[in-house]
Amino acid sequence: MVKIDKDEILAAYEDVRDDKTDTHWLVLKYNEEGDIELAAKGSEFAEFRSQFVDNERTYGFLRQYTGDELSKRAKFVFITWIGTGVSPLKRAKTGAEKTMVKEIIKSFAVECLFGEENAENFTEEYIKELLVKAGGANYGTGER
Amino acid sequence: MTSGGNMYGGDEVGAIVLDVGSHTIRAGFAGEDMPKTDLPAYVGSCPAISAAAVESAQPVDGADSGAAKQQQPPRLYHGTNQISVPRPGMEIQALCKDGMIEDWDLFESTMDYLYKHELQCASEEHPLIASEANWNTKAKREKLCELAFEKYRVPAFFICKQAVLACFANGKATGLVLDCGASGTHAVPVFDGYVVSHGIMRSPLGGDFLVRQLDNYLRQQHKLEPVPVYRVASKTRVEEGGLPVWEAKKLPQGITQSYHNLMVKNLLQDVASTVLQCIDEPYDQATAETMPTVPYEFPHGYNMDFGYQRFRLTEALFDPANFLPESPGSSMLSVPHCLRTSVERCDVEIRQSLYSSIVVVGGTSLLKGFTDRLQRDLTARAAATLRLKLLASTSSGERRFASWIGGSILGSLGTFQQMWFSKQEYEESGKSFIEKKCP
Repeated sequence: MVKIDKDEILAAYEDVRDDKTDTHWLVLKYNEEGDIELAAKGSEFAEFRSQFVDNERTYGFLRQYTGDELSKRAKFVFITWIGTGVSPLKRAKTGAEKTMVKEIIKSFAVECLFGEENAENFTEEYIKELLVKAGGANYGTGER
Repeated sequence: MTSGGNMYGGDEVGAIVLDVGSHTIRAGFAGEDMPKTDLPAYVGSCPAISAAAVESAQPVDGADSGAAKQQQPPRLYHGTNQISVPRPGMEIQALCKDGMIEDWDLFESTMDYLYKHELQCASEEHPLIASEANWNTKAKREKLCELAFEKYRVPAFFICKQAVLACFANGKATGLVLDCGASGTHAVPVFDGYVVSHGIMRSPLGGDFLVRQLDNYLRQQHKLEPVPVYRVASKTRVEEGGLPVWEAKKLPQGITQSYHNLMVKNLLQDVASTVLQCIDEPYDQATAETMPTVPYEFPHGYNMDFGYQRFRLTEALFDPANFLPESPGSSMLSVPHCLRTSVERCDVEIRQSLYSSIVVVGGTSLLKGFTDRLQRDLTARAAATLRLKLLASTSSGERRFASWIGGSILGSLGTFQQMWFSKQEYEESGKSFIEKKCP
């Protein structure tokens, strides 16, 4: 069974969710033994995006802001990434292992799967779109 | 835990995955990316020393002569290394016919060989997942189940259709599996993990067909008798198209025709995979002649350049009516037509989901240009609104072993462990219970 470093990841998860800290994202990867551990966390989207590369499976948890001029809200996205070149066996196992990750990373508005087919969609704008759509009605004057 | 819900597999005990095909048999452990072994689906069989020969060698003795008259069982050879050796009197026999296991004695000997030499494990310790042809009969499934439990005493067994496994290997539970194998090309719709049997379309146009076409072409138009490697002791370099200059190897007497045929087939398969290509649009002589040629040197030294014939020979897959020399105007279905007919036989509601996940697997689909041409032919005849998506893995191993990989995935999933047909259930309910356990 794949092992997961609960405490470290939980601490990072709370850090991203904390409004007072600057941490906006965390990334989980598989180490040599095949266990899931915290790989990185930070604040810039570009750095976040660069964590997701070919031949790897990676999980990400990202904070974004949606809302209009009257109220700004923090929303969270859970991303599963299966890079090009990952074997079919590992792809199939991702489903079960994702469930384990979700036991720690419990709360998010949107969940996405990115991979070979839709890698070009993996941008800040696209994710913001998804969050806005999931967010319900758009009040306000349309200015942000 | 219920009586049928014993935990097998996972990390403790690896299940064995067995995928039987007409060209090769793949076997290995669940949880691995590739099968451990890829055996040819042929067995070499040498007749036993005859009773007369034994008698003449020994002094006649009252008690002995009775035993000597009994026939010894034939000596069997498995695997590429063993069957490639030219032995006097060794007949090569195929295990499968029509995609299903035909010769059960030879199959059993192959299983013995697999467990002992290739997998090197005890059959009682590992649950077994077997794949079956998509049109497999009830009798054959029950026979395999019986063999597994009675002879090999496996702790648990499961059997699954090859198309379903191929779909799993590509991450889908619904899709149209286009399996381009040796015995033929088959379009099999899979919906939610079950094969839609009335939608299965089978065409004999596959790897073996292409090899026969190539054979005819070489013999008739080049007057070339393909000489396989086993006959060649040495060769000298000749210019392109020149008469081959070679020395025959000294071979034992009694090399059988079936052995020779298999060796020639292997040679032609090598030629086909090196040389043949599918052209991107419907065949046009002028365009084909402008394409680059590919040279090939045969084992006995004859070398030639293959030009427009590279494309002409494969065109029969896409347009048999015009390109099958033996039966011009034949109504045999081309590969894209086979696919479309298969979908049309299914329920209207699932057609779009089938078209949007067309899973291409099988060794013959690795022909250069095959998937591009297939994509083109399908989109040309399809409605503009139809979303067509071809899932063809780039790795050759993933295409050839797709059903094995699907079995490996299945065997290593946690949720599968309660689905096994256990030994206990077999003993309680008998082999016919397999119909309920493995739909």
